[in-house]
Amino acid sequence: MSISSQSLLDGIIPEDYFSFDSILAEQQKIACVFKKSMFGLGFLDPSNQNENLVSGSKMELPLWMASYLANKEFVACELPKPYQETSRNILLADSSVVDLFKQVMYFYETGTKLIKIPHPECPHVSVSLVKTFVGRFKKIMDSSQNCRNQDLGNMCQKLDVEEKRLFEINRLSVELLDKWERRESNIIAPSNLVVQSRKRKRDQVF
Amino acid sequence: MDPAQIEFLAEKESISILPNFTEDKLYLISGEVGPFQPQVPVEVPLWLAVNLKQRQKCRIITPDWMDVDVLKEKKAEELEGHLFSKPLHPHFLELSTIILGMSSEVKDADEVRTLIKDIWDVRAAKLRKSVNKMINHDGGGGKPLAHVEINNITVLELNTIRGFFTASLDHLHNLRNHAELCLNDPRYN
Repeated sequence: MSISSQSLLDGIIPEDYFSFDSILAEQQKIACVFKKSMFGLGFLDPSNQNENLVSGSKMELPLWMASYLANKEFVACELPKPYQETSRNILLADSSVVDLFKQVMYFYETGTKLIKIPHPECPHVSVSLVKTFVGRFKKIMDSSQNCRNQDLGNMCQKLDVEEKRLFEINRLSVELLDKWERRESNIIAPSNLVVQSRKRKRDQVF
Repeated sequence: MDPAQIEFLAEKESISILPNFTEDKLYLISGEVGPFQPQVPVEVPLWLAVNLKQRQKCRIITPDWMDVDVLKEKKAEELEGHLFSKPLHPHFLELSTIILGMSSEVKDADEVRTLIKDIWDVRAAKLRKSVNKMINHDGGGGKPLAHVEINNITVLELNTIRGFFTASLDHLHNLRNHAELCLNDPRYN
């Protein structure tokens, strides 16, 4: 999805700057505590009557903003719940039953971006991401290989966006092979546009 | 790649036919074919055999390996080892599908079809198992496998797994790179 912009913007903007997935992955809310008072930013917190944001107030900020403020030492960040130790232990026990999509849509992408907020547990998170994917791989492969259209939703509901992409790739190749075995792939079918067209066909004119 | 494209490639394989007409040599880009004489076996590419058969100009001689005994033996061999055995033909599923679909002269056609499907299934299971093993492999110290060697795999089999496997490896590679980056980051040590 990223636009190739190597020559012009090389080194100025990050590689995934234009990637929608990357932008969406950075929407993840991070619980932050302000270390300093912020002047004139009281409106950010609806429960705050004050004009200024006093130090010690807690707020949930999106990852892209939290990372910037954390690096400037304005806020202290907590890891989102799905990446904390308790959740990591659940993933370690059996990652294949966890509903990643419900927890974080872009589980892996957001997980790798957490490195932007300097949190002491980041290395543990990154190792747990690898283990999670390895643990879930067999289930993704097997379910996508043996699924026919009807129960698609049920099967990939629990997969995160990247896993869904992998699932779809495998399902498609299995479907193509099935079609070939049924000798359907060498039948030339009219394009959908033609089938749905309301124009009269030549043989229907008279 | 689409399986239909692989079938197209498989149609280049040569096969024996018994023509029922007389014709000189044909000069094709891939080489000379013929001459054709009634009831004299001749080797032709599969696509030509299909064309002649459709016009009822020839009989197709069933390849030696499309025989119940040979296939049974192959199936037993395939079930025995956990590695891929040498396939009967590098395009065995494509060839048998084309020939069985067209010619009614194959002996025990039903049993041949079942056996070939069995062999295909055994091999597909092996392929899935080894792919899973490779992804799950932890070669000590968290180092992933550098390479694997898979011999005797056919194009069609490879094609069923290629897109998914490479995409998964890419994803895993990204995650591993990131983990290494984190573990070596001086901020955390």
